[in-house]
Amino acid sequence: MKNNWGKKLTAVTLAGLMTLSATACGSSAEAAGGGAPESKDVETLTVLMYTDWYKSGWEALEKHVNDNADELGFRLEISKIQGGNQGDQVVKTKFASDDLPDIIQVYKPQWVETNAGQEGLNKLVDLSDAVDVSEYDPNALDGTYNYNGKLYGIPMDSIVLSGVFYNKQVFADAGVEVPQTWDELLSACEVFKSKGIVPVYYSAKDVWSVQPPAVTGPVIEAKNRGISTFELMNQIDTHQLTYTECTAFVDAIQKSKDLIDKGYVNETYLSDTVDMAHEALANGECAMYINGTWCADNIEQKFPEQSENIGGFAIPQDDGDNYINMFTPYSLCLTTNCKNVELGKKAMNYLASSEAQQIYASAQPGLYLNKNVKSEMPAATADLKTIMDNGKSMTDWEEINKYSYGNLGENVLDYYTGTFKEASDVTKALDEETAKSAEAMGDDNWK
Amino acid sequence: MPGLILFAVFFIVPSVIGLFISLFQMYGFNFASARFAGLTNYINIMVEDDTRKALYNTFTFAIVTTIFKMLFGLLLAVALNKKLFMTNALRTIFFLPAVINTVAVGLIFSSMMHPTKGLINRALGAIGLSALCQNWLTDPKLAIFSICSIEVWKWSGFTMVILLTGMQNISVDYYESAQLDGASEWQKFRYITFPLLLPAINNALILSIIGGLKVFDVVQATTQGGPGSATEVFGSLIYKSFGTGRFAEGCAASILLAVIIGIIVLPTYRFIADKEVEQ
Repeated sequence: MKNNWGKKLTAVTLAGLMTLSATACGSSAEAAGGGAPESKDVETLTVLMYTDWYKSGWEALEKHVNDNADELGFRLEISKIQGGNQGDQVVKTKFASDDLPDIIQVYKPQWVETNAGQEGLNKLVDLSDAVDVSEYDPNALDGTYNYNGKLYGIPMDSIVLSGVFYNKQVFADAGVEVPQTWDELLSACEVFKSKGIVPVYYSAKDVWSVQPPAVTGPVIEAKNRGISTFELMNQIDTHQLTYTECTAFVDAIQKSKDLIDKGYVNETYLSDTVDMAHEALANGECAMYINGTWCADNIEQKFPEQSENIGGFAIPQDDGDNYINMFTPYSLCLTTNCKNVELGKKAMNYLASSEAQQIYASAQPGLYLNKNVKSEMPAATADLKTIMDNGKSMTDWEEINKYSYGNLGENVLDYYTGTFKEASDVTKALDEETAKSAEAMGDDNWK
Repeated sequence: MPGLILFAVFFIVPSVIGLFISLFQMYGFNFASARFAGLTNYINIMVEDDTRKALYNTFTFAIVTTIFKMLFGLLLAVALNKKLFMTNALRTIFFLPAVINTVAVGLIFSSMMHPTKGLINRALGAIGLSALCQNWLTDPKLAIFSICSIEVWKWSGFTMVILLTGMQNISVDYYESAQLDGASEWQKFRYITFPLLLPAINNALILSIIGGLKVFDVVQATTQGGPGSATEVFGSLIYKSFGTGRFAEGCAASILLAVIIGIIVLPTYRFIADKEVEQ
């Protein structure tokens, strides 16, 4: 009996202490205010994005907005979720269940349409009358942020360009010039191979990284047909054209395997990662690596002393008329769930302004769509920007497709490892997946 | 009763909804555009090349891992069913891989199995066995067996624990009588241990077969089904269906997998259970 009283007393004392500590936590949290002092008139806008999109640029911009909330009239409260397929599932679910924040960062409005349908797209606010986009090249906005006659989002992040990254010192030591045609590239590879240097590094352990050598194909196909990648994808989306009929695409896949067959690629490419490729390129263990400007950013971050030694050029074509793929930045969109839509529009207008974009760019150097933003960029990115400025780039087709085509990287690897016999088997697999997705969506063009 | 409600809410209801969805064609969560498709999703899955390859890999994985997990588990259980120096420590050591996170295991083995920088090929090279060096996870013909070896390493200790528990429930009287009759160690195992261990063997075998047929995590953590689709299994196909927004197809594939498991496991369980003897 005595023991029971002792236990009861201990339990009551512990409960009291916990209650007190909980109260104390509440008080301190109130006092702290979660950062900058809150003003009664300043509303908070919730933002949702993937964790890997919240980099130094967003960090700086969030801090700036919240430090100047009184002046700007709004604060940002950013939530981050895991990226990749699992993150995509969460975003799709949020669209389906109408559990959206005030502002959401997505790949593209097309992605929302593909994954959440027209109903999902209807949950994004048209910003046409609210955001001043005069600081942006209209061509860069059309088809992506400007979609179906509505401005569904604003660019938030830097542009990524894909091409061939090369070690200038390795090229100079071997007496090799930057190749302009495919034959010149093969000759250069032969020189590097004879000197014991890996001519081209592949990093297939990270499956996505085998795509860049192949994805230039549809861009070249669009160029050959005298149309944009938007028109090309429109033809594929409406079943007027198939990936297999894009001969330049099949050719690009074939050529990417030819490099392996000729012994110009690292022998252990199936086990090697993107990080290993960056290291090999920076250290001069390989001469070239085909990827996006993430490569230049990563080398600048990890091997800053080597950054100026890395250059970039477009994947050479047979005729020397070379193009690069442009991956436009992610879209920041206002949702219809925003209780104060007018404030949301005001916030979006500010976030699209050169002031906000400059804050982002200063913290995260790169290539930005806002024409008034100045930013340092790695030498290789600058090389590719010159190609883009000369009009030799097109928006990457993977961003503007309506229907999922499956996993290009996996199909390419099936071709590299012999499961697929022909390069066209890769594109046939994409066509089959596209058809399945279109049929699942009930598209009459596939009946 | 509360348990039944939880079971209904978290298992029965989702299963029925999954079965219902699998009979429609729809994309993502767009229920408004869903159209009745009958068994189309099931037929599509069964006729695809990817499914055949995934089924082949899944069955290969289930058969190989079940055989070796049972074999190593039994050997370890027999060896550690004696009072030896460090018996308890050894039991813990052999069981430990079962509690390590599969993602961590995948990362460790991916690193160890790298063709040039991996510990395995380097060790083989160091002892003059370079001829045995392989592209463990990137050779399309070998990769699925390399993944099997990781699974066997991870779960043999778990099988050992199940079998060890069964062995310790066998009365010592049987062994003492056999000893008096002059039975050898093999005869004791063959005529006492094995028959009386059948219930434990049955449990371990069924768990192993189900685990093998449902495999996903270790493949995802090591090869993600690659290179290409060389190590694609049924679980990763389902993952891809859901990942690309074809939920109805994913539901149909999940139900198909459950049916396949049922068709294999139930007769197996019954067959072994019929041969069990009571102590």
